[in-house]
Amino acid sequence: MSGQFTTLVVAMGATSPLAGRLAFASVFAALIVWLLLAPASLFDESSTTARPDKTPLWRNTRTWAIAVAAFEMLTYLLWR
Amino acid sequence: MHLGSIDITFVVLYLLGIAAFGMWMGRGMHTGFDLFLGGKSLPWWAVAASLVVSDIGAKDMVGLADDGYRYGLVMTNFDLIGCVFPVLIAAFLFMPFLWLAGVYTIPEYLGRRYNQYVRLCFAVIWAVFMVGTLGVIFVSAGTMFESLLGWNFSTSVLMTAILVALYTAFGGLKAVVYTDLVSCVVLIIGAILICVIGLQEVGGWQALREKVDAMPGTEYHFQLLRPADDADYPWPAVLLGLGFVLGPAYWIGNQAIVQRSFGTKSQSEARASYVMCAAIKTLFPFLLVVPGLIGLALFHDKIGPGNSDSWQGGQVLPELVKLLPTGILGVVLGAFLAGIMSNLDSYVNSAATLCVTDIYQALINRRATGPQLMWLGRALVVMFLSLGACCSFFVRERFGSVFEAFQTFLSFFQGPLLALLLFGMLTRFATQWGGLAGLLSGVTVASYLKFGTTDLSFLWIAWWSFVASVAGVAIVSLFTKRYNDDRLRGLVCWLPMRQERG
Repeated sequence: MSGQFTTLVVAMGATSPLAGRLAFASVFAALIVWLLLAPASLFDESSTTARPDKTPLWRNTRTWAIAVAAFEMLTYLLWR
Repeated sequence: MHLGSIDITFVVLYLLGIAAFGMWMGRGMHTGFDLFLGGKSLPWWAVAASLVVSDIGAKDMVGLADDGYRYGLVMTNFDLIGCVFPVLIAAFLFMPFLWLAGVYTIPEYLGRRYNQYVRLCFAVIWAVFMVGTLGVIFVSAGTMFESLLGWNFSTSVLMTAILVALYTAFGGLKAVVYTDLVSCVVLIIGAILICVIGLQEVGGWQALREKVDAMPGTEYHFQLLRPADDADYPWPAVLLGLGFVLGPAYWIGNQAIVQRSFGTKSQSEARASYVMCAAIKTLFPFLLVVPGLIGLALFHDKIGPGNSDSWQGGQVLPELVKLLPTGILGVVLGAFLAGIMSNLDSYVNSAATLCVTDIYQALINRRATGPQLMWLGRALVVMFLSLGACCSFFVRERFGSVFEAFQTFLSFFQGPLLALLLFGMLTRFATQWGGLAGLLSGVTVASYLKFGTTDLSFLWIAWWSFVASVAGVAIVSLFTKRYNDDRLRGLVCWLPMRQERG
């Protein structure tokens, strides 16, 4: 079953490490987009501080998460 | 190996210090709530460090160095896509939600969301898995002590078990988390020292690449990803099996991991602990895999090719450690001890929590008092350590690569676990019987693929068991009655608890 799946992937031309790099980087890119666009209510940020609009960026967990995801995305794209 | 007096002093002080510190942290403990969740008083930064070393322990130090030697940098994906990606999702979507649900264990959540059969199945599966994992960790300890200190395997296992039992039984999760914080610092320092001194020995990063590239069968050792038709780690299998199944299941559903974030002071602290863990983990894979490449460059003639039948696992890191000068060796040995102890204490504490919460309290004695649960938990800590030590003799005989053994254990039920958690938390659609069907179908497919086929990567096994589990939940849920919204409040992300008025 998985052998057939691998054959399918190979047949689609996704054998090269370049295709893999793009696929892995895309996963982190999608994560960054989700972190940027998701509403504050989903993350319940209003409960973490009395005045969420005044929280400095460096104390915001969402900012740190985006930075980490961006680092990972660049690692997959740029590593040689 | 000859240890200098300064090395021995450091190691002995470290061992005694960490045990005393753990026992001191556990003072004033009165109930199971204190023992298992640290009284929900744990700070996020300590929990973050504990998350890191609960995942990266002795098994990874030995196992990843071995696999770095055999496969190269592709092994970093276990952290890069297998950890950072799911941890960041879990930080914002799952952990705060589970914290609010107020559960002690993942099976407890599954029991409330599906039914008691699912809860019991996963509690038993986790307990068995944890005993196996404890055995794997004990093997790492025994291998390292045998090579470094000349102790025999049984003595190494016994010493380790007694030490961990002392502070885990008395201090509970609070002791585990704070000793893990110390272990994390020592572990990072030790890993950096091995890399720096090893690279100096080879002649630097460029010399390392040239030496490894000149060897046969190493054309992908410096690539993060291997081709899709690679026999061991094809990138589609790494992405689907590791990134989308094993990683998320581990970081969302592994009791030994998530339990410490249940012990934070608030849901926002649970989230912060996961994000900080992800930040730390961006650096760890290179610190753990690069030593394998260094070992390949330095000890290829002695250890032999990693893809041959004569390959003996567990030798790369001990050989590297022998390069270290007196003084530094003590710190690195301390790092190894830190890894062993943090892994052991995490798993043994979680196994006890599972048995007390999901088996004893749920099935045997619903009216047990807090002190009763605490003492039972302490007894179970000792019992699980004993079982794990016995199991280590079997694990040692059966498996060549310690890390691969760990992943084989995981791949059997991580797919079904993830499917049930995702369906359970994100949809109202899944029914109690759908959950049970998903569990059975996933484990059945994983068993068939493992024992009924040959040479199938555990990554593919994880992926297909997840797919089978998703199909099982979906199909059976179509034909069975689902719970109403009131029953699901607080259990499904989109159905929060009703706010009390007034």
